[in-house]
Amino acid sequence: MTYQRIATTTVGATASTITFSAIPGTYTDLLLVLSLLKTGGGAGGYSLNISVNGSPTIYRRTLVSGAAQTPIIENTSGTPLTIGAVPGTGNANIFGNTNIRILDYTSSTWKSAFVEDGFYYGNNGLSNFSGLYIDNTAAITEITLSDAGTTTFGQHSTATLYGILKGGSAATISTT
Amino acid sequence: MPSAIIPIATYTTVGTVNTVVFSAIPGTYRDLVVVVRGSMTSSGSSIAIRSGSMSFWRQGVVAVFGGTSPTGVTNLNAQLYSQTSVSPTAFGLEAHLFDYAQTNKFKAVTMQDMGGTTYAAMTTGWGDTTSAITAVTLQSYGGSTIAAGTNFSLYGVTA
Repeated sequence: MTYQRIATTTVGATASTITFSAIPGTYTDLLLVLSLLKTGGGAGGYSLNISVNGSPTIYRRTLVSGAAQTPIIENTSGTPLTIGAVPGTGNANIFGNTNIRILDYTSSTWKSAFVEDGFYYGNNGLSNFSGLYIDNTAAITEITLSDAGTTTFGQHSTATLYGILKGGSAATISTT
Repeated sequence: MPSAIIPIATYTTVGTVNTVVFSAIPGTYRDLVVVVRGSMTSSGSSIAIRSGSMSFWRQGVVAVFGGTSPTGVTNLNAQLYSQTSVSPTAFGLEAHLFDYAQTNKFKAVTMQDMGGTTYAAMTTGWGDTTSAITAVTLQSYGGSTIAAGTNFSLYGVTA
């Protein structure tokens, strides 16, 4: 199995932050799977802050959204990343789900990532896809999630971090 | 998530290269996944994915490129294209080839890729062949070469 679960957490009541620390550098990629319940702040997505190695993330994102005809290109410094979540009030069984796949997280380049998220949007489902850069050239050893607003992560929210391995020698490789 | 994703082969470039070929791919899995993580030596180029037994890819794309959205359907000659970038903006590519060893259907593919700071795409398509895929070629396109340190990994997905 090349997907190995590194750590998982389930929110008991509410939580302001979720942190994965001491992430080993033994994998090729990381996959962060989030199922988050928003406790307030109205409908729509979370304004999620992602801190890497203790520092707020500078990120560049190209977003293809099911809610907009015009693509969105963001180049931000320390501002939150809006991803899927739903308001808890009246929708306590509907969680926003997000996959964040970070490639080559130990490399010395900016980290490229794919973000897929789906959430509740005006009584409908909404899907987004983003290509994301995290402007950090250090190996990622810690990831902290928090909401930029006044909301918290609701009960039964889960966050799981997987490590993805490379390897194998069952096919032939050649280069020119 | 599939029950198991097994590493078949991996290669990280030492110097610059134009082409990386996975061959003698065993037919024992249900699907294949190709992942590329790395950078090119100059901007404005692509990585092309092809297979020697395939004559055409038919491709549908939802993409953002430089602030525009070139969504469309195209029939391409034997290859899919993924945008790339130069360091420090490493590009990423993941392609999933379904039922690659089947001989009674065209080969369906889904792909997501990103490069530069203004490109992201999701692609679906079909490769017009009923032959089993036994080799996958990834080739630089547009004048650039693949930079050292770029990793190519091939996985097999069990049913």
